Amino acid sequence: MSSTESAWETVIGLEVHAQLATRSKIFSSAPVAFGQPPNSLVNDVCAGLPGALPVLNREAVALALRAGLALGCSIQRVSVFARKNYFYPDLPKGYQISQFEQPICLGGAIPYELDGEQHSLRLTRIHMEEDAGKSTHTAAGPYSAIDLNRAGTPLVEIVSEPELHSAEHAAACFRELRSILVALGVNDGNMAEGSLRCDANVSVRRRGDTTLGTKVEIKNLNSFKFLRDAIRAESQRQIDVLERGGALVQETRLWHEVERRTVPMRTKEGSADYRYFPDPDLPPLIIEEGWIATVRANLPELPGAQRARLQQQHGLSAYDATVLVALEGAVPVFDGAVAAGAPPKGVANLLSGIVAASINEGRLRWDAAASAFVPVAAGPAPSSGRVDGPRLGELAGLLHDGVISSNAARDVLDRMLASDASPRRIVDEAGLQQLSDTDALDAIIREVIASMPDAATSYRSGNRKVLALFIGRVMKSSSGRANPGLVQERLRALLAETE
Amino acid sequence: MPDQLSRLAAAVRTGATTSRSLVERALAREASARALNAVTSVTAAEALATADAIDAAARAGAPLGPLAGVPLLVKDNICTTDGVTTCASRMLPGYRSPFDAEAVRRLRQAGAVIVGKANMDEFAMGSTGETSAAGPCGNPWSAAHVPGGSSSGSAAAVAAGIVPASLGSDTGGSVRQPAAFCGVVGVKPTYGTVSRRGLVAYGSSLDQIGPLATSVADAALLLSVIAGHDAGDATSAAQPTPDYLGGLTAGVQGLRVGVPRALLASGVEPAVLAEVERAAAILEEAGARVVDVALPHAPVAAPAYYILATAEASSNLSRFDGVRYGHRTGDAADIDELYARSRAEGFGPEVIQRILLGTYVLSAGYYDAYYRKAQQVRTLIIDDYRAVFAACDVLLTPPSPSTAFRTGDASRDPLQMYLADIFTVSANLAGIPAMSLPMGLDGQGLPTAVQLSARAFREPVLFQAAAELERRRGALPSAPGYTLFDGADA
Amino acid sequence: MAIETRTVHAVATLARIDLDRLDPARVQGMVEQLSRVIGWVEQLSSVDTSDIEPTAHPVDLAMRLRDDVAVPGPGADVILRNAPHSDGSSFLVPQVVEEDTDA
Repeated sequence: MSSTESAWETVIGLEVHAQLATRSKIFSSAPVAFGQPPNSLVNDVCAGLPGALPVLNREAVALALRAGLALGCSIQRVSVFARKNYFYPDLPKGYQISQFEQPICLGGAIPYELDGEQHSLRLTRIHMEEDAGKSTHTAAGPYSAIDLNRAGTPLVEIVSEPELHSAEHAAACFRELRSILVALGVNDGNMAEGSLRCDANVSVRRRGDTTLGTKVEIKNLNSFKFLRDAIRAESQRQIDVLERGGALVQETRLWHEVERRTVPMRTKEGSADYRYFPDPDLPPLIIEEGWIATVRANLPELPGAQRARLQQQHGLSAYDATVLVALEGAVPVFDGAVAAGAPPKGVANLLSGIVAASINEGRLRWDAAASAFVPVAAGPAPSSGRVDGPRLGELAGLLHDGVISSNAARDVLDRMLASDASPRRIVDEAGLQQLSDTDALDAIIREVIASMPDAATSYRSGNRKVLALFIGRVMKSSSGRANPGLVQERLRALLAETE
Repeated sequence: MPDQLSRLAAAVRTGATTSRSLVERALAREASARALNAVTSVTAAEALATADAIDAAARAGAPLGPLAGVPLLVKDNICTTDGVTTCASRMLPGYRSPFDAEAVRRLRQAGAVIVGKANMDEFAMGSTGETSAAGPCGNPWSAAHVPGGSSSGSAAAVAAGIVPASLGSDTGGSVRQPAAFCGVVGVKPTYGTVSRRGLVAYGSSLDQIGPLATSVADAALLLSVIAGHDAGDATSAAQPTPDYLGGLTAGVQGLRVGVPRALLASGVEPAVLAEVERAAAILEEAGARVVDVALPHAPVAAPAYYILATAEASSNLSRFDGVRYGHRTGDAADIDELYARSRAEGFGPEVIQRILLGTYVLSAGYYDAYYRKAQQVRTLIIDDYRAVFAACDVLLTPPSPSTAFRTGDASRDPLQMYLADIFTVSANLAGIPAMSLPMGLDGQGLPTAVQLSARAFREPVLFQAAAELERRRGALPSAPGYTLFDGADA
Repeated sequence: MAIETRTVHAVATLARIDLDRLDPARVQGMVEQLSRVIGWVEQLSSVDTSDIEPTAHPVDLAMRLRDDVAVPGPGADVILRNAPHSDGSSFLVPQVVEEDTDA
């Protein structure tokens, strides 16, 4: 950080739009789905046809409640939907149904961790609203094409207080929020598809000032990297302007990844007078205590609590706990494995190692309904080849007991994806047991030593580096099954023997 | 006062008549009354096909609904899948709705045959029938007078015998006032009684679809078909629909009838006031007790109404932007030009004025002074009615300070038009049911009427009182040169 | 005047109605009438509404919720049926000079 920068403080607030994981839209029964042919998920309500009326989706409210309760918000017993009036081609009615003066949630906070320290970002409110459609350029001429498939998708808008002070904190906080929403089943976390979008309000002020500077909103940052980079760039831009004696304009900007800077966005509404008023088509939303209590009672364990439990109950390191919690499906599988008696650290290593690698390679995926990892190739609902807690636990046990070496674990896992046989059986049938029998090993080693007389001489005259050659040859001779630790030990012993 | 609807439906069910013959009669009446311009579009082929299917079902002895085979018109702001829905505007020429309004669906389910759409003031904004893009609608009683509005065609067509009944919509009096000007019965039900799904919205917290017919019994029957909860309308009332027909002959013994004497002391035409007095006397003779009641906030109801209705309308009409349907301007360099030109070209002046007023009262800095204030006045009016209906069972007033206005009155003051809504808008603000009942004719031969209203969801007592008044009033002539649909007197 | 011509034009811009497409005399008449109507509705300010709650819905209704069941739409062809300009799958409008909202 330059000395100039330290004279300035950046102030950041986040506004996150998260699509709620419902089957149908917030105010109509049209389906919610991504990547479908244009206007195929649209009915009269989504299209804003004359005479169409909105009816609120119960599940959307339930998910909003879940998010609000998990984030410690105060749920408002009475909330009101209001019309936000403006003209834009992706907004079919000429107004968006949102919430204005009386949102469903007030307050709350996002707990997050950065560099080993716990932090908390206070929230202002959470409200429900409908998403707009999409306008895209078309090659057919100087036109924009309007697709209303996304119009009416349920959203919650999560608004934070302007209390973040660095791009790193913003990214860490947003990352944790995403994790929480995914764990809750409220949002699918898919930023690439636009189901989770983050806007950042950025301003700067001289360190020590208490008033806020001119705020710039950066819209639609759909990756953690863009969020971090955009905030840094915008913060620096504002500082540069102010240090030159210029003035900042309160505006909306976009992050231009290629040019690595923020650019002004043409405003949607000339002078943004949204003329909010309560939507006369929707009576007030009353949330009864009983509903709140039920949702609260059914909240799943949140990522922060999971990390704490993995460390305190199972002795995992903070790093391991973080990796597991961030890997979808890892915690339930871990819990299942440990409950079946497997060694915690061993299970954790498998999950963060070969399981994560297989997922990255696209060969394995998490199936929440099955509560297991399932092979990708086998199609939508494979009934065989599942890797659930107990099965993975057995693999961890085999490793822990030295039945197989860590080299073999990957092979065993791959075979587990193609079969329902127990890992033990797979190892036996494939002959993958680690060779740990000293006599058998010694026999191989003596053979290898005899076949490499020059290397043996080199070793005995002090060149320890050639040990690697012997190890390699022994592993090859044993088809990789020789216990690596024992091989080293016995090689040294036998090489010394014939000295 | 024949109950045309049930008798016609019964005749179709028994085979005494055919739906086809009824529909053909409606089509013929429409053609011969073309000069009235009460109808904006006719769906003859679809109507005849439906009629034939109903006749076949009748012959086969299949069960048929309470409106079996009866031809009706619906106002052109009520969506129908056959034909077009234009709201009498150049903004929606030829618009084909992919769905039927819920009220239309229920009509069809009851066996009714929709033969076409009734003319109206553009987007339901008006009280004369003169702002229609399809040309002004006439009043069968006098070529020199307007039929009223905005459900002009719905009222005129019934009075001219084109159809036995119709549906209109009422936001500030748009069923009751034209019904009064045309000498037919018109009902605005309690807010939430009839689904608004498929009614092109004007003032969403005020709008209700309502029946127009030639008798209280017919209006009650038609309402009973379209009323009831609709899960597709979040403002639809959950209450079970009461029996509207059972109490029609119960009489008014012991009923308390409220008359707001102070409110009627000035500004009401003598002929209109005389009808209120006559109605009160009739009801008293029939055993009711007439009491004086007060509506202290009635004088500010119309300004409150115009703020709320236009505010809601300004938002409801934003969807008419030339993008997905409706008129689109021929030349536009960018999207904002497309919006602004399409809307300026498509909307008529009264609609533009109301959109501007509504936008203004919602705009930053004015919301509290106008919109919020009007909502507070709305509360005061609701409170007024609460007190009134503690003191009486039905309220008796004129529907309008005068009988039908003269046509094309260039010197007519638009503000006077708004003021003339004084007796009707309060029922929309409070959500209570109200109806017009024709009483006779004034010195010019124009229909006179009274308005009855009741507490929310108390339509049965409303119909009960109106039916007694109707019975004792006796038969009324039909408009000169016209006969009612089934030839009988009103 | 309860409202100035300038304000009426600003409101018309908010409402996306191009008054220049109308006959100037008519626009002038509109401004005058609007002014009179606004002057008329202003009488509400004299009504004592202290401690009075605003009413948004005339009849006391509670929000009724809908089950989360997806029902397929009628299809793009029906949705586009009344479109003034489409390419068969999307509505077309003059190009919106803006970053794509496809973010």
